[in-house]
Amino acid sequence: MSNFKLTAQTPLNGFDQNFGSASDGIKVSELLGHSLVSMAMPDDQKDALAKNIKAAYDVNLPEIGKFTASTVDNTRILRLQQEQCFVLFENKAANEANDTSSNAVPHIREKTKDAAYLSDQSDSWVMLKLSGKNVKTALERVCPIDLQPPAFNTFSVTRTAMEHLSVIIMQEGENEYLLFSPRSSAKSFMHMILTSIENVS
Amino acid sequence: MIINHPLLGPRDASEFVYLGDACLMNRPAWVGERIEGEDANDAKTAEALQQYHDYVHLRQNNAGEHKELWYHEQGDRSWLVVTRNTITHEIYNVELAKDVALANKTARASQGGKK
Repeated sequence: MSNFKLTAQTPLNGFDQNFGSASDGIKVSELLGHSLVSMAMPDDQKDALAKNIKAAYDVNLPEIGKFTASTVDNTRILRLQQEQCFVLFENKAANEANDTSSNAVPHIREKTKDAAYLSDQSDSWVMLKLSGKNVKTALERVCPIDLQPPAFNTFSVTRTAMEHLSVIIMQEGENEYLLFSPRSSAKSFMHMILTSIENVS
Repeated sequence: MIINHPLLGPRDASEFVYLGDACLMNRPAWVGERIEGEDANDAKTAEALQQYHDYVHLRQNNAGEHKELWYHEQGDRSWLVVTRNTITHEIYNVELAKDVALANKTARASQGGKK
């Protein structure tokens, strides 16, 4: 047996930095300690799933293009399309073991009572949290969708493309966004975001 | 070009992949899918082969209104039927291909019921 102990790294090694002044700058930080599970919803199970989600999280199954937020495990349910949601949640048990994927699917299966098809996506995405007064200005340079209300506001979520990269964007507050992009292009994704921020700072 | 997605609202055409003529949704039955007992050499089989040949190889190239399939790859992964003017690029209508397929299926079933 080897004496080595391997430690998992996050896609951007916990990137956390402020840009610009304190008053109107932008904070960029990697979202850590969260698991992400894809939930495919069969047509004939949607009512049962909605009921189980309500019971487990006390939130409704969101409409397409919206997410709902629960205080249970700080969970957000992202309705990305007709038949699919992503479930993002703080995975405290896994964090202690430094592994956000090992128990993610069993955890959600228990909550949804097997009413959906689940697959773990935790290590497949880089997750960046962007906040600050100028954050929308920076995003508008690279994001092709309309980020102004009422087209996009708090609790909105969607898939889109920024430059050539596939991105999921969700708005958590007035000046707060979460962005997900495939882990395989994490550094290109961060470069794209930081370049846009530098151009508005 | 902006495509007004039925569920998500206006989206840039760069988020989509273009497949072509929406007639691809209406695949004719292949010879092997025909009812049992029919002779492989009969006229109906020849007709089925011709229909499949046309389905695979022949396309309308309309100058004007045209129904097309677009895939929202950088979005919700839905297939859309977009009715577009190929001369002006004006988009007249956008529907979920799923809804169009279900409507076609219902129409075929009701036609079959009348016979």
